[in-house]
Amino acid sequence: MLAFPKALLTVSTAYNRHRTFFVLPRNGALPPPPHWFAASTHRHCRLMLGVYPSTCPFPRMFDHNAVAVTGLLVVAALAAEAALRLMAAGNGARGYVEIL
Amino acid sequence: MRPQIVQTASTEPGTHEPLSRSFTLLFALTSATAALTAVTTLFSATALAQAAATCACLCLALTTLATLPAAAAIVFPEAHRGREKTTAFVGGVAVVVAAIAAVRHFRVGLGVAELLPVGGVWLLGGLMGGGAVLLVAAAGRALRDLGGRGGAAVLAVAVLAGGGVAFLWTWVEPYVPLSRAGLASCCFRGCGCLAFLMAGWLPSCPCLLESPLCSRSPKHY
Repeated sequence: MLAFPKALLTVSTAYNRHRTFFVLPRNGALPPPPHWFAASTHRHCRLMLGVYPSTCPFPRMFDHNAVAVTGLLVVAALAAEAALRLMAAGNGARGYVEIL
Repeated sequence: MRPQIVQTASTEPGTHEPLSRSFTLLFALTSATAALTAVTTLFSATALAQAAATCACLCLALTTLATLPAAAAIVFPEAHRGREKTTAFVGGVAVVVAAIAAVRHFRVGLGVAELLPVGGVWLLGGLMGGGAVLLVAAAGRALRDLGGRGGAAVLAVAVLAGGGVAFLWTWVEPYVPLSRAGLASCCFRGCGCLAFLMAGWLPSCPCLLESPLCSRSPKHY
């Protein structure tokens, strides 16, 4: 009797395992937390826990997300400069137009 | 004596709008891609993360599409050159298609493509084709006897810097196995196994590595 809820939970997780969206149980309850929840949380916290790969050529706080964001900032600044210069050039005609 | 109005040539109507529209679209799509990628990394592997990653890939595809009118407006900034702009747009589409075919044929950047949940090689080829289209447009603007060569040069520098940053990111990435699982953390494609969650430190989705953790056959590409 005590093993029944756990067995039900296991079956539900196994049923939803290969699905993109979880199938809600019929009684309206929320789906049970998946069994890998603690592991994935731990995965996202590992950097804050101090585990750091010795092969990383960058300093500790400059992980590859920081690399991507920095590159995105530089490229966006350069592209904005280019767009403003091109817009200032207008249609490319040099000098001034005299409207008589 | 007749009254005389002198104005700068760049204030001619119809010359700012295509460029400003297309570059606004490009910046908005880039920001949306970055925000959706950040959201994907914040969530652990759930359906929300997969939806955000799919939207990020959609934004990447739209970025590829948005480079084409930008390139057409760069090469032909005059308002009356509609036919040439259309020709440049079609040529840009041809360049993007050729880039996608080249990336698929020569298998460039598969390590980056496997991070994208939807259409990895196609999106990668499209982005590289978009960069090539912008480079060609900047070269064409510099070759034409028009103003705005400085802007074209800065745009070429920006595109080359983007390619350099992408190459640096790709080169650095295998040394940083910790946060590798960005978009791949929601890899539900193909086999649908969750083995990469149990072994988050694996270099990539184990379905691609055909590891014994995944019992079902991979169905990628």
